[in-house]
Amino acid sequence: MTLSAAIPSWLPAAQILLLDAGLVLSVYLAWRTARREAGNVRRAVGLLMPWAALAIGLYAAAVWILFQPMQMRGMVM
Amino acid sequence: MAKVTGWVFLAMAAPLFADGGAVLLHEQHPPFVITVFGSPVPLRAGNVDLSVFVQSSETLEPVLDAEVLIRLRSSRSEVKVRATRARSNNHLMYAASAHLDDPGKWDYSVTVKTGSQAVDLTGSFDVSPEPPKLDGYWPYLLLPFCALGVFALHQRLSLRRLAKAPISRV
Repeated sequence: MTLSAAIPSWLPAAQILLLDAGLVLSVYLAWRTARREAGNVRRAVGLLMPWAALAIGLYAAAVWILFQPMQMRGMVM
Repeated sequence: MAKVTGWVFLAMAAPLFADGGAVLLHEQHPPFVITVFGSPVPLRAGNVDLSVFVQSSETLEPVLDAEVLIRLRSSRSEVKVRATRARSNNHLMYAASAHLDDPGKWDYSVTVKTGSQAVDLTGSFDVSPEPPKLDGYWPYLLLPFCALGVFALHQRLSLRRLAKAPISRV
């Protein structure tokens, strides 16, 4: 009996690229919103910073989760 | 579009298995019914957990006084481990850890002994390469920051040009 379930080698890179696109899009949309809401560039940058930090934090967390081993070790302590 | 995306993600998703990993083998060899589980799913080079559930073929009650030996063999290496109930969480199975050096096809044999009765089972499984390391993907991780840097530079230059441009009066 054979168990075969190979993971394609391109999958982690594709997953990271999706996360990359999400980060860039988030920061871009945050910047556009900040520019619309703020009167000048300096204030827009101030409005952007916390949201950009949040987006980068979520990106880092997602990458960290992506590389965690998802294996069941319930049978062995 | 949402439907297509859903199907793409569904096709990429690995199947989920319950506690104990995937069933590698389930066979009836009187006087036993033997089930072998492997974890992680899919099996990867490195440390793997193997669990053997031994039942009586007549009553299907778990057999708790067996001696279980697992042999694993690839084209380049061989591993022998003794599976014990002490290593399993529920103490109904016989569990062992093994280190598989190479990805590829591995043959295994499981020997179950109780008193004078012994049963040998054989099978094989494919072992995937070791999980990817983060170090190998740093260009992908730098990419969004480069893109954002270029965008910030573009915004700075275009705003500066806008500030310098003469105000047109109607």
